[in-house]
Amino acid sequence: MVESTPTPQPQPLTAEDELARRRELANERSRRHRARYASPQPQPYPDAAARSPSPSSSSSSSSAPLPVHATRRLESIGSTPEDYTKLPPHVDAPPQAVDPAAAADAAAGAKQVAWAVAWVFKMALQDAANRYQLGDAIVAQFPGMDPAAIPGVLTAAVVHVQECTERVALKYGLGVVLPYQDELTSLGAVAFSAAYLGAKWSGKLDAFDAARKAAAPPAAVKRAAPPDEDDDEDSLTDADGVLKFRRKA
Amino acid sequence: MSEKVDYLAVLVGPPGHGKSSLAAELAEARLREGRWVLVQDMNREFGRFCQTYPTEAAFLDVVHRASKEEKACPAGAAFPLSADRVLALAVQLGTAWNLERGSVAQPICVVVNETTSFEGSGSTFVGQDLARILGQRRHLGLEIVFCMQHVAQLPALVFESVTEVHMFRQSRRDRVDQIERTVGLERGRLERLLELEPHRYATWRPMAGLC
Repeated sequence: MVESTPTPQPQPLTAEDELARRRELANERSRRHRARYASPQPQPYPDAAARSPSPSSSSSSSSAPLPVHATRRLESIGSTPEDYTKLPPHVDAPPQAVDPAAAADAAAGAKQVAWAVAWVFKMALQDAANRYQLGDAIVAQFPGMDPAAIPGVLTAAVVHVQECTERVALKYGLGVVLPYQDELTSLGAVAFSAAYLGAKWSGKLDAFDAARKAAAPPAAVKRAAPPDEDDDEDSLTDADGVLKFRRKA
Repeated sequence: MSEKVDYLAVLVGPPGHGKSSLAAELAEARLREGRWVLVQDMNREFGRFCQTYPTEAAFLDVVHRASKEEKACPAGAAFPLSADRVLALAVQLGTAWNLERGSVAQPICVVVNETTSFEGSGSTFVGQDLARILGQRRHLGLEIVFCMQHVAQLPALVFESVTEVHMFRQSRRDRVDQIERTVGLERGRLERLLELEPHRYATWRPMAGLC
């Protein structure tokens, strides 16, 4: 009869043994880490082959010297601004810079009014019977505004609306380039009316009319009803069918 | 006549090691080639050969008057403004002079001399103008030179379009590693950047490697 040798049971580690085991594991990891960085054969990055030339090129070899160049000193540049001049290209209206600080302060109020004016234009175009006077409508939009300031503010607002819709007005052949990023949300009738008013205010009405005849008008445009002969005093539009405003008495 | 414009350079290195000097060399070379040059010049270093303007409006006013009077004006302009504003101006001019006309007749080189002055500086932020520049620079007629202290200051997107990278001395090994990974060089290839003297630099180009 063969007696089987009992399988030795592993002895539980003492705290000191466990600590020594962990220290040995950490040392082994450090040795492997140092061995990797001390290797004479650097490992390429995964995407090196995709970006660099072929390994046969001498410039990609780690043993090849690194080509180095020298800069000139800034002080050695003897040119002046007048040594390099150019004739700028002509544009119908030059790009206009927007000063961020000025836009944040001075233009904020005018921009709000421009939106109010655009809203009023839209309402007036859609409903010829709407008897709002533009000035009254703006005052209603901004309680506390001095009515005497309305004409000047409205002028600025209309110009601003024109500029905001310039990118739409371009298709009417005005040829003005102003890089405003904002666009009115309802470009149809409002843009058309604003562009027309802007052309009138800036003296480009002839060009606008000629381009308008050549281009198809937007489908959403609704012209205001022509004023009644007997109701000229209260008419919202002038003889051209363009919206007008009156100072409040 | 339309010109082919495809130049996007990145200069990386610590202050005082020659980035501005090299940027000035590149800018002056562009002026000699007949380009317009706009420089973001917070440290007032480019006033030797570029006209300095306090704001974008001052420059546009000079350009408009010169155009009206059919007289030439300095083609180099330096601005002590943030990078965002100078890039926005470049996009504005590129749109009016090139994109709107359907051809690149007026190439413009933009030198951003301090990328830390981006409003949203960092490797993950891509502002609206920068994204537009990267996507449309050929149509806008824009060449760009970025100067920075660390490659992480620009989005990785920029390095996918770069045409050359100029590298000055680096003081830390992990910075060298980062540059190697960004341009796709094997580890250790740029180790000598740790020992470069001031005003010395190495150049890397896609398809040509270190040259």
